[in-house]
Amino acid sequence: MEGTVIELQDIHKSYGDTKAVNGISLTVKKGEVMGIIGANGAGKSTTLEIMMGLRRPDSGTVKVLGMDIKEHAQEIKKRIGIQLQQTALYDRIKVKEALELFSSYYDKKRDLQEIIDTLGIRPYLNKYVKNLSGGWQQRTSLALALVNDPDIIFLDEPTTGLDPQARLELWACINRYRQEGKTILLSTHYMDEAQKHCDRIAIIKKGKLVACDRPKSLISSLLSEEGTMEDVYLQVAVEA
Amino acid sequence: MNTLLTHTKMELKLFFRETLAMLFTFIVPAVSFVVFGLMFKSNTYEGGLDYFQAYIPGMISIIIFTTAFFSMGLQVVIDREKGVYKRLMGTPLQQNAIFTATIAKGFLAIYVGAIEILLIAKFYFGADLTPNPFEFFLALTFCSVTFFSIGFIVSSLAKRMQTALGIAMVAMYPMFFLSGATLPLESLPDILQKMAVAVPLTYVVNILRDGWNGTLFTAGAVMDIAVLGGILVVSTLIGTKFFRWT
Repeated sequence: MEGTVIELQDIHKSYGDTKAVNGISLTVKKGEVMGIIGANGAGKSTTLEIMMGLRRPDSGTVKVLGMDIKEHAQEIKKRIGIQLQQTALYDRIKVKEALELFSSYYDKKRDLQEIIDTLGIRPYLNKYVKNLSGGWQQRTSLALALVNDPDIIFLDEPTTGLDPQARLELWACINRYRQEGKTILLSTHYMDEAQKHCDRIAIIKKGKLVACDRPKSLISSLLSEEGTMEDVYLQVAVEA
Repeated sequence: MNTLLTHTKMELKLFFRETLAMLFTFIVPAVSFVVFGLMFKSNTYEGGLDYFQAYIPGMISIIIFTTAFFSMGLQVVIDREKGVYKRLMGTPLQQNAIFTATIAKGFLAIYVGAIEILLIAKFYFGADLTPNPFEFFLALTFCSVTFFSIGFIVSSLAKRMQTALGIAMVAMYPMFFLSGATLPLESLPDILQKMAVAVPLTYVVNILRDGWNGTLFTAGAVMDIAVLGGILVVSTLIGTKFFRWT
């Protein structure tokens, strides 16, 4: 399909007896902001981590940027940027050092100074990442996801645990990269931000994709026009 | 290559920021060496060795142990638990670069720690250093690699930082006191001397003394080398089987 950057076909992944992902198929188009929502344990992170190449699906095919992830994992990693749920950095590393370190892993580099200024992290460059507040830690992780100027940015619950202002500010940052035409995939528990910022929303329940559409369409297909994503969530994503 | 170099440099930089690692690698062994030296420098030990011939190798054995268990085994578990490796798997960085950087850190810690002990011996105590530097270097490197493989087991079997720390702490007492690294084995009660056979660091102490005193390539060293070689092979197999990056 023209403009498709991610294609999942019938993905399955189990941990022991638990089926984390149970037959998910999904396509993401270039330049799209796709939100993934669902209860804790529904399979959001596993699905994202399969697309990032961090986990191998038990069955099914994954194509990222037109390449099969099994055969071209290394090529794909050069062109994506990821942010995990945990900050996932060394205990004693400073912001600036982390940026320089991660930048060194790639051949293609985005100007670090530009990232630093865009995300406003200049005042924190010489601070230890672990001593920063949640919001600044998340910005640092976002900055690390950008060092290779990726085509696709994966963000696993980027705003979880942030205060409302920090959430707004982080979204302002994310939206800047969306305007550049980057494809962005993220998971979130906040229905208001999913509704406001995502072009499409995929709802995952017990490892299955139960709905995937534009927020407006999801709302109008299930409810009255005055509904919100929260209503959709309660109706579709929550177990009866 | 550039990536590997940058990653290794960062690993070393982070190592020098670990207070606990600094304490166990560069402070505790050096201070123990000085204090024991002031008390026992005119003693003679088993095999007719003087304090320096017996305890320069002894203190360096302690550095090998703490490096392998704390700076390598435990640190890998901490980094893995924090999700560092998982995050790195999402970059083009190769896994063997992480592995190489960790080994480089281990060697650096041990060589620098060893040089520190040698400098103290020479310039503070005015002691004679070994006439067999090459043999000693060879012994040191072999013992280091063997203990890296034991540290590798720790990081393979311990899932959580607390577990790895527990293993290192429990191992510390026999390694320090029943290996001959600090207390002379011949002064210990019979039962403890027998237990020393089961402490891997005992063989390190023996081989380092052999290297230092020029007896590494003699029949007396064969048994110790064989035991450490066996440990190296078995640990590497166990570690390779159970190690997980995430």
